[in-house]
Amino acid sequence: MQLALPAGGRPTPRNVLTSGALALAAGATALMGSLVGAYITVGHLAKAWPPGGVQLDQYAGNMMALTMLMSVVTVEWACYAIKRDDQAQSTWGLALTIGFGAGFLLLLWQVGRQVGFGPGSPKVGAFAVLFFALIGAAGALALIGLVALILALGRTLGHQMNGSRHEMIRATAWIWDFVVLAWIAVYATIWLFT
Amino acid sequence: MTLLQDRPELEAAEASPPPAVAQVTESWFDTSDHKRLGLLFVYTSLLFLVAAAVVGLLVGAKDVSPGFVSSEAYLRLYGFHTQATVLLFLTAIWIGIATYVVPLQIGAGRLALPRLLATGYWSYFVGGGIYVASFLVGDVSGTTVASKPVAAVGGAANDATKLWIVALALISVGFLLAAGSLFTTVVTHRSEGMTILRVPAFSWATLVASAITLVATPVFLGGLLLFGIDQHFGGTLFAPATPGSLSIWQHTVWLYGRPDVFLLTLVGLGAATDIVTTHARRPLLNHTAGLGLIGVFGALTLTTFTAGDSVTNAVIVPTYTTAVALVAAPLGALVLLWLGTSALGRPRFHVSLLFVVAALGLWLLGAGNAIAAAAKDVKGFDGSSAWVAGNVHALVFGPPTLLAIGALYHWGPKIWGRRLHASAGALAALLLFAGFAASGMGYYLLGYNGVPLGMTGDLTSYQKGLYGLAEGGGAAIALGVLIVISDLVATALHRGGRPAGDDPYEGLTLEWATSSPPPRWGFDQVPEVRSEAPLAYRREAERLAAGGDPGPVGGGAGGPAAISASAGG
Repeated sequence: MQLALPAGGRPTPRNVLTSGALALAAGATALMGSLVGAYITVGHLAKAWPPGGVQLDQYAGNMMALTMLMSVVTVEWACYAIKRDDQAQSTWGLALTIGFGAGFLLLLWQVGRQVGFGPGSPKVGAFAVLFFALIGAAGALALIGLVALILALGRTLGHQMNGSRHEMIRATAWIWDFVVLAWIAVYATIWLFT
Repeated sequence: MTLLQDRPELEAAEASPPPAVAQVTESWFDTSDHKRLGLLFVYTSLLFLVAAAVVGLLVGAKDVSPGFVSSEAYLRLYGFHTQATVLLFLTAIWIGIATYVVPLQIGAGRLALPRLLATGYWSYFVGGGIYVASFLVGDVSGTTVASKPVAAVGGAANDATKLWIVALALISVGFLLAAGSLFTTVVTHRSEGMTILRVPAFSWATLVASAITLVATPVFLGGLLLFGIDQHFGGTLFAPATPGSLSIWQHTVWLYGRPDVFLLTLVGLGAATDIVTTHARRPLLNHTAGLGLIGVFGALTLTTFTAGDSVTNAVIVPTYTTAVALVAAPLGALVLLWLGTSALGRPRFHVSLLFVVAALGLWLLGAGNAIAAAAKDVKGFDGSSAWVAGNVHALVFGPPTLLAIGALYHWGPKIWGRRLHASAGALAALLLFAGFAASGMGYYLLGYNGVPLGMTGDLTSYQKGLYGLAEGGGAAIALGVLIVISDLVATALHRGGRPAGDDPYEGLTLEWATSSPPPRWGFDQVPEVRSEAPLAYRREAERLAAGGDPGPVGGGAGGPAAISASAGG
């Protein structure tokens, strides 16, 4: 049979999860960027920033940043291992990342409780709103990343991830990398350069 | 390589049964089929359009009869009308059409990350319901149409305002997820041979709009988060005394301070380009240039974020800066491409073209008034002037609404397998155009007269007449919407209209290469793509192979070889 311009093939779509994860991570970056921008705008125009009486726990801030930076190493370790079909090492990498992530969330919760003012504290004013918006958004993103990590770990433990099929772990690692990036931006804005 | 060749492996493929996915049955509630999800978005958005139109009529009635509703209720109703039209109807109907059409146009037949888009739909649906409820349970103090921050009254917001914030957050998350899925679909699911520059204009516009949504909507979410905390815990950030709060408000919460409002037109440009080329029966004069112009339009919308926060002495609204006004340049160039394509093609009348022409008319009306406003150096176009309501009707609501309905008439045969009624479409196009133009001009002229938005007392008879004109326009819009919905119900639910066939227009792009409506798996066979108009190319090659003369796209400048060469194929 002779065909004029026969049907083309239907290639298997590739990098779907990675592309989707990067697209949504771009959105998360924009969210944090808008909040950081608002914080800087108000802080720049305020007479005193942070307002008098606000004491931020520098040690807790540093520890959270350190925890998140270590989690980047472990999540990339998980990616590296699964690409080489090493499920055991990948499992360790993911489990440790989940541990770091959970630790970060606990620390964040403690910081929110012990900061000495609430979101509506009249003495602290706009700073309180911006502070809780920033750490709340960072915490929500970390929670989403943690859920993705737990799903990836479940797939790995179920032997559904291997050297030739590991896109979910790569996509999850991208999400987590952006979560860490978001936190570093918050840390730098509130703890380092305020 | 010649155009004619033997492909025995494809003969074997032809004999194979349809993909296993054909056996999958899903309900409308758990579907991941892009066609059903698209229709869910379209039908739901039309329901919200009815609600927005009814409230719009109430707003207009207040303008004509001041005692009809109180001034406080007027602002609530105006906020509902504007936000529901932009968010619940216009944005959602474009997502719905794109969800249905884009996977077919790029030869994928399915979505990337369909569950993400399904989650997005349900988030929008629930958020929309809460949004309507928020206006029913009390006085919502939140609004996205106020150019100045809304401070918490009495130190904390009421339940209605909290519901409003939650609703808008859910709706925005829904759009964000849908944009993520559509973006990934165009990036990863294009069929073989469909390079990014061969993507049809509507799919390209969807890609650009999705990318901008992915970076712009989270900014709105950030603003809502700040607004929510501020309203719930006492109101210090958006209090008038807080320096910088005006800037934050205008760039995160205020509807006209964000690029989102331009995206409705952006996707409409893509749809209009496909409508024009299909009915001109030839590809765009320069497809790459067309895509570039749509991309430039999208990039310029992001400059709204660079606008200052002055609310006085600005042309129209503070974010209407020179950079933003430049969006008119790519739009105008694209219109020239449409005209050139029509002149060199073999144009054939279709009712969807009427909607494109009507949208063009409204753009001209809006541009003319923008120039007039700038020339008059009228002060106070800060969102509180009636002039802004004119601009909203003539530019923000009008053209995207006309193009969305035109897109339904254009792709209706593919979606429902039947043609919508051309006479109903023509009447609706006429009513909608007349309605938006009258409404726009009524408010524009009130603005020139120095009338603030919502002011109905102490009016001269001339000003009352202008309110009557605007209200008459609103009634015409409502009637046009009613006709469109009746036609859709008659065609989609009652199987009215003539059967359309698979390719009623001798279309250029891949969605016309499958049955109407398409099967669950999209395509039995995806034609090979070597240009931006693969079906025209195939049709021409078949005609030449049969010994015929060069056809509609010609053997010369528009012929297969030229098409292929122009697209780099």
